[in-house]
Amino acid sequence: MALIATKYVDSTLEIPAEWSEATEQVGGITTQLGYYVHPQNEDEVLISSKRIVLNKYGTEIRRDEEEWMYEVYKGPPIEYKRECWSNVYLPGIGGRTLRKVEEEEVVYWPFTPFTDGDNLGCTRFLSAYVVYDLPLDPTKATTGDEQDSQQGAGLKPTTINGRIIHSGKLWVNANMDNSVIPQSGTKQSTIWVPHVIVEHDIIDEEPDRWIIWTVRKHALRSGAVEVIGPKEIKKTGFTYRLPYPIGPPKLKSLSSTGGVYSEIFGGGALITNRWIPANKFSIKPEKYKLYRKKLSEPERSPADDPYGWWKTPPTIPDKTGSIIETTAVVDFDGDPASALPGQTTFDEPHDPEPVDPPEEAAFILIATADNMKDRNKDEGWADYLDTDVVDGGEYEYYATAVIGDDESPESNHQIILFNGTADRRLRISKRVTEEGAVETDAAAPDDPSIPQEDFGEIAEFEIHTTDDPIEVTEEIAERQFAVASNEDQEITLDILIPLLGLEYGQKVILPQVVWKALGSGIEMTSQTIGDEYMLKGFTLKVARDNNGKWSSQKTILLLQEHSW
Amino acid sequence: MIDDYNVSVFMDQRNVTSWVRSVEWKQNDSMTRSFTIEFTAWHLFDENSRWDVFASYDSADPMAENVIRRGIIDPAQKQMVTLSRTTAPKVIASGHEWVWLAQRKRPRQTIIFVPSRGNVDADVKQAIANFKEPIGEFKVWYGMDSYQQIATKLLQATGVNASVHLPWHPTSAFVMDPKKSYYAQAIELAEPYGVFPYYVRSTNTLVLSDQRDYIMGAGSTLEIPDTIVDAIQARPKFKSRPTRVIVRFPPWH
Repeated sequence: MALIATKYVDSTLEIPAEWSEATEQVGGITTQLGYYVHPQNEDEVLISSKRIVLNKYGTEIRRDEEEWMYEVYKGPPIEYKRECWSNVYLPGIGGRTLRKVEEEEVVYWPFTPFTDGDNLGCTRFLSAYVVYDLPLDPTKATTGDEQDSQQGAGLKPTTINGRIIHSGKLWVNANMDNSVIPQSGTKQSTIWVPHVIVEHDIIDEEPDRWIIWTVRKHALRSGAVEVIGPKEIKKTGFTYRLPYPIGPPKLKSLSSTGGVYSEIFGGGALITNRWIPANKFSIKPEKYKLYRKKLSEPERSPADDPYGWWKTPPTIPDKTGSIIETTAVVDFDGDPASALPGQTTFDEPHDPEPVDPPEEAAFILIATADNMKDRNKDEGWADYLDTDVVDGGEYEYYATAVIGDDESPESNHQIILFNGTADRRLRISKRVTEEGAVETDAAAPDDPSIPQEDFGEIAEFEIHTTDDPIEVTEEIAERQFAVASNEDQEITLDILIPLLGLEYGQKVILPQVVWKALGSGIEMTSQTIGDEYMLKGFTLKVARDNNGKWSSQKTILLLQEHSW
Repeated sequence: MIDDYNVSVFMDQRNVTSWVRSVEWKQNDSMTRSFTIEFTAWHLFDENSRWDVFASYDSADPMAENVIRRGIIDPAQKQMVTLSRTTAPKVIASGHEWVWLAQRKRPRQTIIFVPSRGNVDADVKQAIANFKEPIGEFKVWYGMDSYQQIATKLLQATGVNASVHLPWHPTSAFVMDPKKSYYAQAIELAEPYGVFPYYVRSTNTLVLSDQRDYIMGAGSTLEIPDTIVDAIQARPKFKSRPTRVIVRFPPWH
């Protein structure tokens, strides 16, 4: 189904009468362009064109109709057609009647069925009236000169069917160079020459390119052949890739100690042979991907510890803070100054309302597990322990099998209600070294607030005891993790007088030390958070002046907020 | 402000205050209290001298508080006297209180800790065999059934009182590395349990306490009024964070 014109644009150019001398009495030109309009994007493709030339009496003297044919929108053209009518005088036929005088047709064809791009060859056909001269009869020559001119050279023009071959001229050329004599009895004749190939592409294909020769004939005359070429078009490489039809694996999940434990079985591609159907090749998965969706989840604990893994030491009050309480910009009177443009938040009128981050509504990839089995012998298998779950949460899982870049459809879905009652804070393994020592290795759970793995230090101890190693380690590891993973605040205090009686571990009470600092229009107010500190260190220097009297510069106290 | 402020410096129990230009004392942690004394002129003293510094607010009682007790000149101090042509000679003595040195004290003989249960001879032989290094002359500390006992005894050997509270675990016989000091060995035994050692100067006691206990409150409480504070600086302090704890149990337990 070729494209057809669905929209026509008509236009008429009237030529003023005063111009009739120069335009040889042409009265006007009417054109009609036909477009195919794409229903969605309203793109227009020119399909047809009609041009009519009228004389000043309104009579048609010439008409051109063109048509481009397409198979599909945006596809390459398949054919071009042009028809031409004229009321020109044609010897032997007559004149001043509108008749079809020329017909042109171009057929386009792709080089090969899989050619990329618009690599098209074409063949051009022409059908038209051709004006020939007829040989004169020497005996009917009226004057001696004419007889001489026809016989003098001793040449006799080549004729076919009584027409001189080399005198053939296309109707338009014959009229343009005034070789047509519009009189009856003239030794001229016109015939309709149908369907002559006037242009043709010869395509030669080589592995990396096409070589194109264009052969063009001048009008309809024999002999004058123009060969254009060679033109080379480089092929661009392309590959075919057929995806594996991979079968989905089976998933088995269960709530386990420390998380949701998933086992993935089977899956893979089964490729049969077309010729020997019994010969099947089974390709086992390289990897499995595990997806999870949260259906419901209890609220997690503080923001920096979404998994609730890090235990807050019970005896330490949370008193960490800044000594700067407020920061404000004031004007000269000390009143709050109007905010500068950069200090205000401004919402664009089209900004959407800020929304809370949405719940995890879609499946997310949580793990890519390798196939742990021999891919040649066994069915595939992988397992994964999802620790990113909260006690009481409900989760949905599915898995896929992966070979190369291809992924199978989803496996069966498993919905798990995780009831992680077991303690998940420590992972303790036990091993026996070569010399017989028992080593217990306690790893802290990954801290979600720290991006890298293996962050932190390894604490190594040696204990000469006969206790159960596992219990001892658990107790020790718990203490080490809990005690060492805190932050506190150190305060340095400059005191104007020398202090005596200072001792490490002293309790220091610091009633609210408040002052205001003003500078460059910024006002800062101090605060001290927490009213108890421990004295950790101090510096005191005394010197004697010229009178032998002791005087002190100041005492510097080093305080610690969380004290041990 | 306090106008009447007295400092007295004693060298080997002799008052040398009249030669002193300035005194500075500071404390970095519970055990390290250091001093720097600048003299106006040379005085006859050697590096083995013991230094005591007293300070008070009352001229009638100039020795109210002993801020440096039995100080020892730091053996690492390279020069004490600076002489130049243009200025008066400078004599500076800097050192630490004796506890600082006490924590470096080492036993003359290698110590073998043996619990009271079991066969002493067999335990000693096993401990020596396990140590795999020559131990030389050794002595046996018998009846060492827990780390608390061992650590207490080690700390007392340095000359301080000890207050140790550690979880109880039955110990097995082992050899103390002769290269270690008493203090280092005691700290090493306590280290797995996350305790923090601190020295109470007033009672000359070294405390190995549970870090999770709130130990603040040694000495008298100091209340600092706003008016005497000149400057205050604060910074958050982050501790290291162990993520893996490996505990090795020797095979001969």
